[in-house]
Amino acid sequence: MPKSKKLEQKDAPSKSLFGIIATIAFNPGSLISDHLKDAKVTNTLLVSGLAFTLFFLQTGLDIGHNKQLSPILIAALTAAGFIYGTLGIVLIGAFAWAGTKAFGGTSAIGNMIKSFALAYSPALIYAVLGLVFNLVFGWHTSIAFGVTGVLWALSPMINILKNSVQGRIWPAAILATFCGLIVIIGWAQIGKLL
Amino acid sequence: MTDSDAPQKSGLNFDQIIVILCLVALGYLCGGYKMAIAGPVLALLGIGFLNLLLGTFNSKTKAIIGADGIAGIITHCFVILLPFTILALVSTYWLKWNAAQVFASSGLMVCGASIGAEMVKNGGGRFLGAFLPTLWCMFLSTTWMLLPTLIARVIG
Repeated sequence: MPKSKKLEQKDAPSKSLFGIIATIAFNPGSLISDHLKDAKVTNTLLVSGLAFTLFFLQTGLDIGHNKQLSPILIAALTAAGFIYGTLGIVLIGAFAWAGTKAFGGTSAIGNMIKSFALAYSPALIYAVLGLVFNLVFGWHTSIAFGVTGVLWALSPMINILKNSVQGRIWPAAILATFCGLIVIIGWAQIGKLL
Repeated sequence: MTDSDAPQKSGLNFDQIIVILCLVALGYLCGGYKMAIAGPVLALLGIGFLNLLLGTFNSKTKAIIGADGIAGIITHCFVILLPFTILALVSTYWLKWNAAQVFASSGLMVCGASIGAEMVKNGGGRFLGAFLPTLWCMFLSTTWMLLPTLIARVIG
């Protein structure tokens, strides 16, 4: 067994109170992703699907704070969020997989999509918190919470990409940039339709 | 640490240049020309101090990869600022958002988490290896967000 692997196992976080608090504070997404790492691809897509559903719902609510927006339009935007977080993430995962192949990557497409879907676990936590602040305090939360959550997904995404291109940071950073751009620009363009 | 993980001497300078460019760009987006100077100065001081802290409190890692290795991990992980910088540039100039601080603060915190993960892979402890850089980068990120206001009050 490689030395680094041994060290990783030795230093794996325990279930101590400190570990739980630290996880909630610094890596909230792992609370979800740790439980779903052995799940099917379709199940993991529910994480990203739900994250984007709530993110898009907040976008609709934010727009609704400024101008009259029918509940049907908000519901349509929310549904678009679910499609974006499932089908969209499948396409982005497939794009990233093709990108890693170009850099000599070896990972399977299914694993890439699954990992990408789980990368949005922090986004789901942020989306839930954002929705609470949006509904209770009437804040505009789509950028402050939604975009922050999507940005936090870049961290696990870079790690996934880095692992599939033999630990090289540059291909991972470049591919993560493209994936992040697709997600953010896509979301902004859909929001502009309203 | 695999060969590919190890910061290469030849690539290190390029990494450093990219990190500085990212910090300058994020600083400019967050607070104009003054922040484009003050932001990178703050971040580089923070990175230097983090290097010192990690080297002091992670003797096992230092024994495995040396002080240069720890410095390399930090620089290497700060390359992660690149996607955040490009997204911040696109969101500011194309999407016309005024949210560069969100990108800068998230980027800095993600760098901290990434340094922590790399330290653990190289023998660092759970707190002094993993959480210390995360905490430090969280502090750095908060200071970065407050810096434009501070500059405006002090310099005007």
